[in-house]
Amino acid sequence: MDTLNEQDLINQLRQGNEPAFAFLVNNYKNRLYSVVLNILQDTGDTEDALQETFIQVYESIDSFKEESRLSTWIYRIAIRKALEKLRRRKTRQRIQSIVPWWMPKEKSSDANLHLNEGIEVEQKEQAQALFKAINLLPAKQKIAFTLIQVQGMKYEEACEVMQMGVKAIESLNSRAKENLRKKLAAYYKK
Amino acid sequence: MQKSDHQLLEDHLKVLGKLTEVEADDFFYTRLKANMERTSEKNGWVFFLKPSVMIGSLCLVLLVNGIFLQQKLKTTNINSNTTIQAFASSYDQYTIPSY
Repeated sequence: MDTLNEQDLINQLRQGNEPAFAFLVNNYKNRLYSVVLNILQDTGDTEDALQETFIQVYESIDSFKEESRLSTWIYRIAIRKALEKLRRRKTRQRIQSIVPWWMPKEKSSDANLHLNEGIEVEQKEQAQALFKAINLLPAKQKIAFTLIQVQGMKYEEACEVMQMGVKAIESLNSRAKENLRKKLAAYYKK
Repeated sequence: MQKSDHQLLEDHLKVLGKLTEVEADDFFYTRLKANMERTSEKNGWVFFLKPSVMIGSLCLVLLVNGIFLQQKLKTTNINSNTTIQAFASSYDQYTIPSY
């Protein structure tokens, strides 16, 4: 099962064909892993979100109305799962600040170490500072910025994935840049 | 000439183009399948542990018990009535012999 057109893949997934599901996972896992890791910046959470994404794809393929491309639908699920993780993380942090003895402290994120393999030391430091600042952005700005700037997705594609208009995405992206500029001002003064 | 923050950020963003693409590891699908099997096994049990299912089953058991109890009470009443009737009628039929 090396090549399969989208309609055939959907039909086979609906029939519960396991090789078709394996094909889908192998075809999408790296693309999604990269997007979700850039949003969550934690390898453990990314693995969980990705597994939940594929399980949902498998379970709800019958409800896929084919109004958008299969890839857009899968991206949408992955982004939703990433958002859920971000919300859960926020709630956890809030509870931790109120009752610190209730929950153990979370380990620091290690994603940027994976992101910077193969680049020079100076650029590695720059990338780490940038990803640290991206991590502090509000969730929607972070997603829009990641899809467009980090993943290099086209605005139209990002609009479909985020189910928003071009203007809204442009606004999120420019607000994200503005926030990054503010957050990185101290770094630039060094 | 000193660069503005905007220009510095634009320069900084160029580093994104130099990052190597990260990939999920080769055993991702194996772990996913194992997770799916675990989830489906768990789901079978979880169904019975759902509060709605548990409360529903409890109500059903109570209803069936109630019906049986009611039927049993009815039969007991009928039985006891019949016994008393039989006892009374046996007295009625008994005639004291006259000497």
